[in-house]
Amino acid sequence: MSIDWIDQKEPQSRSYDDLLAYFGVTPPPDDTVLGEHIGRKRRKWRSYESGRNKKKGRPQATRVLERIQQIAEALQRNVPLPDEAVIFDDEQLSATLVPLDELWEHIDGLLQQGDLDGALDVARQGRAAYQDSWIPLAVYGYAIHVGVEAGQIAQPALIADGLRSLEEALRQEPGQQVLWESTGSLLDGLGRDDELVDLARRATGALGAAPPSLVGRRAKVLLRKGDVEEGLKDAVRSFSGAPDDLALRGVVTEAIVTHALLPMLPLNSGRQLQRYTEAVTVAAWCAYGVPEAENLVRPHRLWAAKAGTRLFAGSDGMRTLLAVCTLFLSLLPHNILSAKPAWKILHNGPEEGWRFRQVMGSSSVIEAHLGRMRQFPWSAAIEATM
Amino acid sequence: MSERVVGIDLGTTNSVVAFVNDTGVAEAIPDEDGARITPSAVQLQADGDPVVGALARQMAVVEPDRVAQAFKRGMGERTFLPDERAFTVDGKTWSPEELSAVVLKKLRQVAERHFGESVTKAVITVPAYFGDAERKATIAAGEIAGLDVLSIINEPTAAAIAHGLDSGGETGLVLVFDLGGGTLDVTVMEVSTGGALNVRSTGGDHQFGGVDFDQMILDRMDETVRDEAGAALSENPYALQDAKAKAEEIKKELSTKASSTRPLTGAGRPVMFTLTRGEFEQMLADHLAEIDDHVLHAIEEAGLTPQQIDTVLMVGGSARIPAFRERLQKLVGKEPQFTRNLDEDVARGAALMAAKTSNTADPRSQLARMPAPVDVASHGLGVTTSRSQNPVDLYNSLLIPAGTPVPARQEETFLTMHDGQRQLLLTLNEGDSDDLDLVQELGESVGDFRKPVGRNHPVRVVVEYTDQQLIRASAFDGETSEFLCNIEVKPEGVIDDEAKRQAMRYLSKIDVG
Repeated sequence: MSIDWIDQKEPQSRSYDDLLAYFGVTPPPDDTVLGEHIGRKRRKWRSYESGRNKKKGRPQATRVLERIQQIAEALQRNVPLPDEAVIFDDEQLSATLVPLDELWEHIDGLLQQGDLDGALDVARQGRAAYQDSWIPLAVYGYAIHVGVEAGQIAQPALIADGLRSLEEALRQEPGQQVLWESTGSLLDGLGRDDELVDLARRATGALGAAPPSLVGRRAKVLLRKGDVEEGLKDAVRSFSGAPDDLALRGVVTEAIVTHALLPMLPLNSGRQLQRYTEAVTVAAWCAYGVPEAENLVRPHRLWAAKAGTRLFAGSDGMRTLLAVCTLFLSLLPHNILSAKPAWKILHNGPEEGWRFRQVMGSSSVIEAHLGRMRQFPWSAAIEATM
Repeated sequence: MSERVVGIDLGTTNSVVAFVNDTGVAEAIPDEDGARITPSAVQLQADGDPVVGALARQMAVVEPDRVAQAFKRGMGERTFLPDERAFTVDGKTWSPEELSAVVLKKLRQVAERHFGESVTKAVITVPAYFGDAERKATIAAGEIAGLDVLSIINEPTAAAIAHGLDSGGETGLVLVFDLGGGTLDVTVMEVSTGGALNVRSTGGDHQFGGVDFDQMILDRMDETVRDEAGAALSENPYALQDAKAKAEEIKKELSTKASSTRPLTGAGRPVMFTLTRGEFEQMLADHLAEIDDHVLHAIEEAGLTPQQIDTVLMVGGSARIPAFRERLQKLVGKEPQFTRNLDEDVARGAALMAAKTSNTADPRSQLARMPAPVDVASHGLGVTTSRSQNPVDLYNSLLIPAGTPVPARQEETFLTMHDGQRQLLLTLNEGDSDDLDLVQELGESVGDFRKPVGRNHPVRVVVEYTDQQLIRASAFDGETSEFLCNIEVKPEGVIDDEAKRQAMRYLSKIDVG
């Protein structure tokens, strides 16, 4: 005997016969068999309710259990079915294939509701149904890109699948900016730096100019690889192209600080100070209006402003003696000749005496050098004496 | 001298470690204070090593944010907290398997102090209801604690082994009703001559157990305190924690007494709280109906009727509640039996299995002669396929149904849907329903055909359930037998190798208090 009825979620209609068929019983019903079947169906759905399902499975099973209860009471005790207990299979509605021209909008809606699983399901269905179109390939890759950006997708196989889908969509429709952006995001997620740089080059060829988010990602790659000059140029291009994209500016600022500014510290030459100041200017420009990014750059701005300041670093006793002996005529030239820029005093370390302590006393100097203190030539000696 | 092996019952509320002594009897190992049951609670101190056990549970009142309990309910997932927040202490996020590893490390220490030698091999029990993710997480927890996990076995199977060997060879169909702190496991098994155990079906609810009954009593306490003192228990964390402990005491006491009374604190003054057994049973009434469903469902899944069950065996601390015993007796028509020790028998059964698996049991003993138990797949395994050319018509095509004896291997040939198809998406699901919403997706993988294939091109899919109840799935080109892809099941909650190595390094250095 077939027991397909046990998995049926809703009766076909409110008719008496269909309500009986819901429990695998035909008229005239045998009360004992009906009771047994009701119990059996309830127990099956109870196991779905308490089993390991997708998150949406459990509430669905709970709804079916309520429905079983209502229909059982209607059949066994003539309790009227509540109006809302009809019945027509809303699950079927949601399983209707989304028309091609509504696919983007539909997926976008699901993603905005946070239903990534649903978006991927619909995209997969679209990919299988509309094989001649680039759109389902694109929406599938786009949904995976959103999942990666939100930290909900980390499986390399799935990301690679999204990437293949996007590459195929790009081959068919290279004029769509969003495809280049999504592809860049997935390459970034997989850490495939060289392919990302190549993608930006191809996007420039196809669109005339690469999308700002892709340029921003390339900036990150270049900076990470140590190509500071080109990285900074890309950073400027990216936020010039999308000044309102605060997230992009935050990411690019962080990349500049991590991969350009910090490796330049500690400063060891005037030329280095100049390069540092230029990079700080770019970072500050990039961070403008993004509070977290501004906080990240602030100590570097303060240090860049202060590092070039010349401070008297000679002997105070000698300066006083000379000043008195020369009726203070030597004071100005002596001050100039004995002054050093703050970066040099910091670089020379404790041998500069109280001037060093004065420079080091600034919290912005310490913050700017976080993680770089061990790079000073004097740091090992200090650690050894501790 | 042979290497020491132990059996561990890693429970939601309590854990026990046991071994088989020189006379072949399995016994629980006491800790330095003589306690044979270790509460599964972990306190992560601000400075100092983690503390496990009764002290940690007591410290929950003082430092609720530093004490983790009932984390077994989140095994295989990122977190165990009901609101899905991560459990983070001092900036470090602790996964359920890392916390379980701390408990296992404690149990390992207990065993090592008892024997005066190193213990590295163990059999760990899990609820029969556990799926692949939870089983893998349990093995990972054992490895982090420095244990070589010989095998993981189902708790009801372990209990039946302990009971069977104690009671001396009853045969027939046994219904094991295991109601512990956090899970209800219902298992139907067949015991044959010579002690052979074959699991026929499993069922239950992995979010239902003693802690839920404690919560019901706690809710009633809260109502009483609100009525009499005009304040909620939750307003004072100390009063709340005190009430939690008393709720558990009352629950236990009502198994032997008609009523139980405890003083509570509300708005700074004492409030007496009394609960009768009748009131408690009324609170359980809704759940009793659910329990009926789980028991009957397991019996039906085994292809049996309640009248065919020969023995009802009750296991787990919450099985002491008389209402469950009476309900089972009414349902099955047999007087339920209890294992010798409801709290320790799962660990004892695991110890017997550990001795048998490691060949350390006396070869003349009944244990050594007993055939290895045959478990069944607790959940079905299937792959996502389409019933037609309509791509929305996807369903779970079941290859290995729940109840199939493990190890199991099943293969089936499917057909491609489209002309010029270049790729295949293999999705493995855990669950029996054909509805994809009612199953758990274990993983997916994409395979590339060497060259585009036509519609109705055969693809052979193989799904395996190993004797460790671990899962593998592979797809092959049906014409060329060329490998296309396989599923590497990587549940989201199971920590990655680097995190596992770090956790192992950390735990190897500390002495759990």
